Amino acid sequence: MNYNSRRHQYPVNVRLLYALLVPTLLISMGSFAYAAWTSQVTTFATLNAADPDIEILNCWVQQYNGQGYSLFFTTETVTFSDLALFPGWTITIITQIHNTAGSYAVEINATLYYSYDGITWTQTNETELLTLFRIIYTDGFYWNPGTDGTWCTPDDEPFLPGDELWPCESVYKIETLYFDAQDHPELQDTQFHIMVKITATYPQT
Amino acid sequence: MKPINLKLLTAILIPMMLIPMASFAYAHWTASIYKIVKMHVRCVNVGIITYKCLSPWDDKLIKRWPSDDELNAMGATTSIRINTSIFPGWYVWFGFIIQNQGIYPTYIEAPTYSFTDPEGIQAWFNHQEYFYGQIIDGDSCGWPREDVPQDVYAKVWVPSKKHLSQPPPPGAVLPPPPGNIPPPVYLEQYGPHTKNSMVLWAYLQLREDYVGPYPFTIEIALTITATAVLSP
Repeated sequence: MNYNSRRHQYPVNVRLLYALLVPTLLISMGSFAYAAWTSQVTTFATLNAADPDIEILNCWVQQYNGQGYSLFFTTETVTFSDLALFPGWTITIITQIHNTAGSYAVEINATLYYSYDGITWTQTNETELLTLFRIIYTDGFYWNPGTDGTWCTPDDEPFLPGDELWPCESVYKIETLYFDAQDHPELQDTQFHIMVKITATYPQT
Repeated sequence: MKPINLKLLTAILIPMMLIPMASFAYAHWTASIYKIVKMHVRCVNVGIITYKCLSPWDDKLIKRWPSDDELNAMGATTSIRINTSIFPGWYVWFGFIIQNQGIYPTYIEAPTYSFTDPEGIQAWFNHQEYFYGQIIDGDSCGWPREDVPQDVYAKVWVPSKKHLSQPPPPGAVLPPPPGNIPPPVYLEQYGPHTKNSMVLWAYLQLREDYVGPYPFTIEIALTITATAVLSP
């Protein structure tokens, strides 16, 4: 009696059971059919932010007519000093700039600064350097010394605006400074600093 | 002595004799044949049989797997991996020849993208896809592959920014080549003279105005699904 009464108390709702079972079966069958009758190909692209990373590999004086200088460099900085400039003083410095293997294709730009104390720097250009300090500053980037193998000759292969420096490649910056101060005695006993900042940037697209 | 009931005895003995005789006769005068049905359910089977990664910043900077040689040895692959460093404005064109290598005709659907993107930068990517399929007839493609026209794959070329002064190769076509069709693309079953191959070109770019964050790493999965076209 108790059993029967329990059955009456909790009857199985057959319609509800079908309503649950049929979609369950159909969904399972549908999933199987979908899995069995489709195929996929996938491309995985792992993309990392590029890190423009250039360094100084070498630096040397190609031409000089002064009485003595000091030059040393690290991978990030070249420091040059000459404490005895005179009218007609000139120097040509060549710096090898290398794009590291973990970097990407970059464009190279140079920006000039000057300072009186070596602490406070002001951005400048060739015209202003001549006006302020009678320094004729010329520079250029080059791929190589050309077929003659000698730097500062007409066949040096220029690194043109828009050229890109690729990882593991080097470019050479040739800078010539000429002290054109014959008629400017007011510059005697003047000390100044010039900084050239070389920047690697992502190429223009 | 109780008399034997002959009728009962006969009724018992006759079936006892007939049944072994029938069994004997069945054993000796019958033969059987068997029909065995073997069933094998085939799968939809599409694969990438060759691919390209074209970028103006030299696709050699893109590390890719499998290489062309590996893919030739494998015959086809369902998975490609590339790895590279990118910057704002960077883009690449992926070109795929996708082949139906199964016995069912299939529809190739538009790809779906999924991102593993811890820095939340996926919105900075542009992508477009271009499909080339129904123009392929398998015979008149004009190059040794004979599966897709070379104008929509082999001749597609992106000039290298490093060698802008170099002339393009003869007949070069910039991506996307003309003649693309909307998906899904119908591919016939595999066979020597069926339209079983198609080309997909996918363009992926990090927008030029991307401002950060830096550094970042993002994994983008481009998935192309093929669905069997089954008889009703």
